[in-house]
Amino acid sequence: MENIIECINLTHYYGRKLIFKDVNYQVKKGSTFGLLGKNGAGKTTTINILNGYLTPSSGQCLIFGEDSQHLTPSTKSRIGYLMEGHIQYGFMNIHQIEKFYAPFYPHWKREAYFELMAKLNVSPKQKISKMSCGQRSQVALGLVLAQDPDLMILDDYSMGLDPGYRRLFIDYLKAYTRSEHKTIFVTSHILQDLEGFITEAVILGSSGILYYGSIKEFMEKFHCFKFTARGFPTELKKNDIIQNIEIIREEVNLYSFRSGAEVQSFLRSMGIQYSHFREVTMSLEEAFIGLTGKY
Amino acid sequence: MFKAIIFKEWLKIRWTLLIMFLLSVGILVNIWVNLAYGLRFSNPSDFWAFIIFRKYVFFSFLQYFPPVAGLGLAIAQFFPEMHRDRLRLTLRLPLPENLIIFQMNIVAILAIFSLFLFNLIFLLVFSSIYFPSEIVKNIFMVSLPWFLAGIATYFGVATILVEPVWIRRILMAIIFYGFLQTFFQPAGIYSYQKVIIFLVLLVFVSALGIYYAVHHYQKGLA
Repeated sequence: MENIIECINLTHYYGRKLIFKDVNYQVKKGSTFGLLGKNGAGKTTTINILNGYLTPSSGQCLIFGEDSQHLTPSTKSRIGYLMEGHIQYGFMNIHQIEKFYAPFYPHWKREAYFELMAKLNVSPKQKISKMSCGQRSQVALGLVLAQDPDLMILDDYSMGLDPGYRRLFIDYLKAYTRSEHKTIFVTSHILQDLEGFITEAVILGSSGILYYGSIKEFMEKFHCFKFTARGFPTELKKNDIIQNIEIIREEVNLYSFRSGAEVQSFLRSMGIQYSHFREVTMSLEEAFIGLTGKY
Repeated sequence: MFKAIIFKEWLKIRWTLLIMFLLSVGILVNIWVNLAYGLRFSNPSDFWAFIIFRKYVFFSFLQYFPPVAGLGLAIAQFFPEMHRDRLRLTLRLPLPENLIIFQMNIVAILAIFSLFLFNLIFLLVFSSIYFPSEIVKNIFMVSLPWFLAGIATYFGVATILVEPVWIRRILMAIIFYGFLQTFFQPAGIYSYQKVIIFLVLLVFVSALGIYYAVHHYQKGLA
């Protein structure tokens, strides 16, 4: 399967502060790929590098086989980009902005744009800057869909949106991905929206990748075990067994890629007395927090 | 695609252009009224002698208008682009980035040129009522450096707006201020005719600044 995006040994510093080091992953054609991570993990840095707005300290990103720092115009026409905050030209109205963008994209689909604009309750001459956050997001989504891009990059599409607009985005994006040639690369903090939508993901932690692969596999292999333990050693750190631990009084949540039997064997080897050991089912958001930590 | 760029730039600069036209009408009417008043209350041949032998420029008040127009048009064009990083949208268009900037510049230069042409035609028409052709024909060469200053001001202000690093902005502001002084040497209003090519070259050099600033902006260089 063709790789649409490839990040190769990607490393970036802001001054002396390391953002990530030697990050490697590929986004395959037809996949819906999530770039997930806590604030400051490097999601926006990655998006900026992909869009050629930032030169990485070392390594490179390839999009359709081209260096993201030097994309040709024909490749740029295949990429639809939704900027964080749904930024668009606020001095235009919905007709002017469609008239502006249409000539740049050979496969421009006017009907896709105006189908969404018909749902907007705005006057034809209303400037985009005078619209609400949700209305602006709808304009931005309509413009990206009208481009009919082979790759769609959505930088925190859910920012500032109420549940209704978030659902509108997901519904339209799901319809878009039904075409087998379309690839989506998305970042968002609202993981309950992405659950059931993204098929693969990279989860970034401080300085690198915590998980890379299929979401289905992640949810199958990453577990949360709850148990009660008195005097649980709080100095216990992440190791081969433990990915993360949360301790509230005597209640312990232990997150691991290992099985329950392996975790229990580990606890016994550490001399930890525990009871009521059980695995709990997690949502994607809970698994994400379990992997990356709450703070 | 150039038509689309023209359309976008027109939407941004149209009201500024209208204000500049109205401003230039006001300035030109003011010059005309002062000229007519001056000629009415003095001997016209003395007035002509003042122009010919003392190199008096009766329309010198107009000299600062092109830089003001360049400043206004640069702000009208690039402030909306820099607000919330909208320039990223522009640079993402499926065109070479330098070509996009070049096309934006062309629109602004044509706007400045249209103002210059309007001023020039107005001046030539009412000057020819009062003066012989030997005086009237110098108007173009006297005002050409001011038009070039307007374009240099446009490029300077655009560069400063786009440049992401504050230290470089200040440095560029100092450099462009120095550049502009070259166009407004009071002792040489008629002397520029011999060095007009040099002024045109200065304008080309000032144009490089915006591409340098866009390159910095695009690469996120600190």
